[in-house]
This record gives sequence, structure tokens and C-alpha cells, in this order.
Amino acid sequence: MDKLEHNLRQQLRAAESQLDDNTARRLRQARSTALASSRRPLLSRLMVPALGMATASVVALVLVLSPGEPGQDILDNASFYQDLDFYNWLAENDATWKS
Amino acid sequence: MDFSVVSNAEFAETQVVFRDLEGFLAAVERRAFLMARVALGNDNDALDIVQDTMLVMVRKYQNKPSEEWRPLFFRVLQNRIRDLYRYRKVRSRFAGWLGSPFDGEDDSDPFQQVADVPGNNPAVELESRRSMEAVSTAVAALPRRQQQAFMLRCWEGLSTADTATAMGCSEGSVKTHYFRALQALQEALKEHYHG
Repeated sequence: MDKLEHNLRQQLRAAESQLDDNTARRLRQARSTALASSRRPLLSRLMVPALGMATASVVALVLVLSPGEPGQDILDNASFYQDLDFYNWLAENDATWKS
Repeated sequence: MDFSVVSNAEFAETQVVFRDLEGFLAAVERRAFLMARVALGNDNDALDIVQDTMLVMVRKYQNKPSEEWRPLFFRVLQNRIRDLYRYRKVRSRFAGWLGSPFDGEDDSDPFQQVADVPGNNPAVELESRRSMEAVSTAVAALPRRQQQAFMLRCWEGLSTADTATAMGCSEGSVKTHYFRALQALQEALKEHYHG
């Protein structure tokens, strides 16, 4: 098992040093963006989640009011409530990625 | 870059502890991308996940002791991967309701971003590439918790304790998941690894 671990680790780590230039450039850019975010004004950092919540509320309202199959009541669908936090995450991250 | 070197007795290797977050992020970004790429099968999603993880590190954890950055970073990364799995599940459900298929996944090789390194022996290079593809396929096929344990313990080289922190479970669970992952990989890769 130790030899397998060693071989796998070597192979996987070798792939890191051989990453293509375009991907490496995009990673550097991602790092720069992340580091620059600590210098963004607080108000603009708060606006993204606020917009995300507003979007999530609209999405949830549309789902509740949308017509379903005959006899189907979405409010009885327990998975809807379970997934509501994911709808919020969905909207928040869509807003974040687009920004 | 300002850093010091510490010893990781579990893997008999030295590891670098960075005093500067930018240096730390530069050191882990490639590995994080490949981990996410193997787990998600999509390079754009993997890049988004890595950037998101970096944002969390900068905004929430840059003032933490530097020796905590590694387990924190990979915990956030794995959590983001998990969140995207669940996000895709919800979107697939939406697609089912709306009657349109959703396919946000790219089935191409996670290591396709690995550049062709010029060499003198095409046969050796071809075998090396096939072996790497087999490894990525085998790791991607692992159950999610085994995959996490393998990536963190073997690929990143975190200790059992730090892996438990990153995975949010006990050290005993880490050992179990990791052992099972190695068993599965040994079986899947027996043609490539004879040890």
C-alpha cells in the first residue's frame, strides 16, 4: 500500500507542474481577484448578497405561484423546503459569479 | 515569499508553512484546481470553486495562524465541491420539472490541461499519459468521502488530524475512508501499478 500511495502522489503532483499556460494564467487571475477583494469597500461587498437574497425571493415566489401538474401541490413537496436554502445559494452564487 | 519548513512525519516529507497568504495561495492553487477538476469533471466549475475558496480565505481566515491555512483551505474547497454537487442535483430537478435536459458536466479527461511535455520517447510519454488518465478516472469514481480522504491524505499530504478537520469528521472515520479509497484504487489500477 505504501508503494501505491507513493506512486499515486508522485503522479498527481507531477501533473500540477505540467498545467497548461492558459489554466495557470486563469488561476493567477483568480488569486489576484481574491486578494484584491479584501481591499473592496464594505458597502459594495454587502450589495452582492443583498441582491442575491432579492433574486432568491423572486425565484421562490415564482415557484410557489407556478401552475403544476393536475393534483400536484408544490407546498406539500417536502423537498421544496429542504432545497430552499439551495435556491438561496443558487441565487447568491449566480450573482457572485456574474460580478 | 516568506516561509518556514516543517516536517510531516506521517509522510516523511517536509512541508512549507507560509507567513504570507498570497504565497500560500500561489503554492496550492494548481493542486486545488486539479482536485476540483477531478471531482467535478468541469474546468470552469473547478476554477470558480478555487476562486471562491480563495475569496473565503482572504475575507475570513487570513488572520488565522498560518499553520491553520492548509486544513482550512482544503476544508473550504471540499465544502464548495460538495455544495456544487447539491446545486447540480437541484438544477437537474428543475430541468425535470421544466421538461428540458440539463447537462452541466464535461466528460473529458480532468488532466487535459496538463501540457504535453516534449520528450525523447513517445511510447513512454503515451504510457505515462494513459496511466495519468487511469488515475484521474479511478479517483473521480471513488465515493465522495473516500475521494476527499484520498485527496487530502495522499495528494495534499495532510495529517490524519488535519484531514479530520478538513472533512469535519473523526480521525477514525478518516482512516476508514482512506483505507477503503486505497483498496479501491489498488483494484482499479492494478494494471498500472504492480506493487
